[in-house]
Amino acid sequence: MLEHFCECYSDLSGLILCPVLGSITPLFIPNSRIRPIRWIGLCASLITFLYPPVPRIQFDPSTAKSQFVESLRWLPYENINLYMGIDGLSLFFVILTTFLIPICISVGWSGMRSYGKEYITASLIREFLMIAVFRMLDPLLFYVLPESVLIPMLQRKIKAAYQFFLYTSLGSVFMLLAIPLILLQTGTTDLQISLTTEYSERRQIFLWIASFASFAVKVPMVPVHIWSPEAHVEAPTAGSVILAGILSKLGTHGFLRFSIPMFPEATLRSTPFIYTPSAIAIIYTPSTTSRQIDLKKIIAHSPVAHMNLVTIGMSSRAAAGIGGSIPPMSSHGPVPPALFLCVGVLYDRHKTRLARYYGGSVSTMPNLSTISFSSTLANMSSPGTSSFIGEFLILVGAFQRNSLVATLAALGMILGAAYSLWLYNRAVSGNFKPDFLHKFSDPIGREVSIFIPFLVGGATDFLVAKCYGLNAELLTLLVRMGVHPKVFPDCMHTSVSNLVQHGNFH
Amino acid sequence: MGGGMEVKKNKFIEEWGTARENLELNFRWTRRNWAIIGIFGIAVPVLIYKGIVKEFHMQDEDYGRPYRKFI
Repeated sequence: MLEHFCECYSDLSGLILCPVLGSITPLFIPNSRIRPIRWIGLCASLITFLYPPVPRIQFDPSTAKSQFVESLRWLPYENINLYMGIDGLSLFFVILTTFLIPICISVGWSGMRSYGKEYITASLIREFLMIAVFRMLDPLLFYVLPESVLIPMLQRKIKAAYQFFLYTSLGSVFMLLAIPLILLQTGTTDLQISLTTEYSERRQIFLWIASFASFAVKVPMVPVHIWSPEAHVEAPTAGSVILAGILSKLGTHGFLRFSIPMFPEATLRSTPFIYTPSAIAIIYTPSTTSRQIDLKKIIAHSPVAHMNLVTIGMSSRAAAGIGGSIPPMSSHGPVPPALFLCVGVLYDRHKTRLARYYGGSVSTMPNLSTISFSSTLANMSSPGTSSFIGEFLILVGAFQRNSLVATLAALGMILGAAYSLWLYNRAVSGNFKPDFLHKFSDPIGREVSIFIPFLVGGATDFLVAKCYGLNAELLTLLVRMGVHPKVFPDCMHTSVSNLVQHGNFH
Repeated sequence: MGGGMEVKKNKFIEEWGTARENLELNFRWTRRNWAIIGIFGIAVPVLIYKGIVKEFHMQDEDYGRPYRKFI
């Protein structure tokens, strides 16, 4: 077994092994010794982020093939293997995951007194599962792993947790039904073989609908989006960061990885079927946000609108649209989490999220106001921020296919800017309310250090990367993609072109 | 985070917030709600879908090819 494992071990296995080892180690330390538990968790997540073999990775953007492929026999009788790799479509999500987990551990630093062991273990197991999901090239295990990611998310607030679990699990059941059909036709669940298999049009439509039911809940698309704001609001700040930053990308990544390349005919036939709920979501969620009174709920609606814009881009079947749908997914990783962290800072101090109590923070908490202003600009996709280039490309791709959808999407972007500014105005501008809030404190050192990677991460990552001799291009792209978006097309162009050609999407 | 900064809660704001957050408890099937659901839940999505399909069919006409079939 060990020999077989050594054979399959590749440079990227450490990306999975680091969080696994980090999650096991705290189990042998009593919860009363919280300091070593916290440091082990943070170090394990940082090692995963700055994984030593990164310089050896040398991701080759000129090929659409999966790179650093690892294969482990899982169910030999049914020819089902643990088959993982990275290509231009999944590279950014893996980096995003390793970027956000150390931040989540830092966010819960002072709060994890009585349950530190559980917090660290859950965070690192989640990291391992999410990296595995984004690298997975087998539909069956792609079904199993996102379901496993849900388990460490269920931390508190029973109603929201049930809703979250029920929606996502019920949607996924349809995909589970589709997998035996794929297995029957191809004799394996290997993605590479499934991609070369010709499915009949009727079977493609059936399989596409089954996978759509699963991925639409995870995106989330209207009307199966109800779980998303509830889960964001009830989760602790670190949970919201993971939900908005990574978990909402599982659905769109599933569309890109499986639905679109495996069932191209069905994708063509279902374009209006995807466009309609996506366009409605882009208009509906910013509109409904204007009626929300909970600061976290206002931000929680932004992933719904952004991810539905991404589904429009993916369904446009144009290189601009599909290629443009990846940068917003990656840029959306850090943006709402930064806003959630701002609300978390307010909640830590004042123990309320009701917008009615807040106002005039610009004079009482100037540093936090500055941070939330830059995050708000990114959330409304203003030029120069990371979200702008992707949304622009999506609109270009959508206009090439359907001007009505592109018009609705553009209208949604205006509404998005409106609610982002409205949120900022309510919390930061306006009158200071001494009747409700009487004492203030700007973010302390630990909180500022959490915000730094979001704001000046490019510079710090670059320095760290230089010190360690790592590949700076890969590390700094999350933050500097707003001003230097060329990194994205460079890494994913071949994979996207291959996807467009594979489906004859011309 | 150090304590002592908690909000001085206002009874009316709290009650208003609770009522706004628990809308489903006071929801009733009135004629107005039926109309809203009919318009925004059925009519608007159907109209958007028809508009999108029509746009695709207009493109088909421009290129002189048969209408594409959609789900």
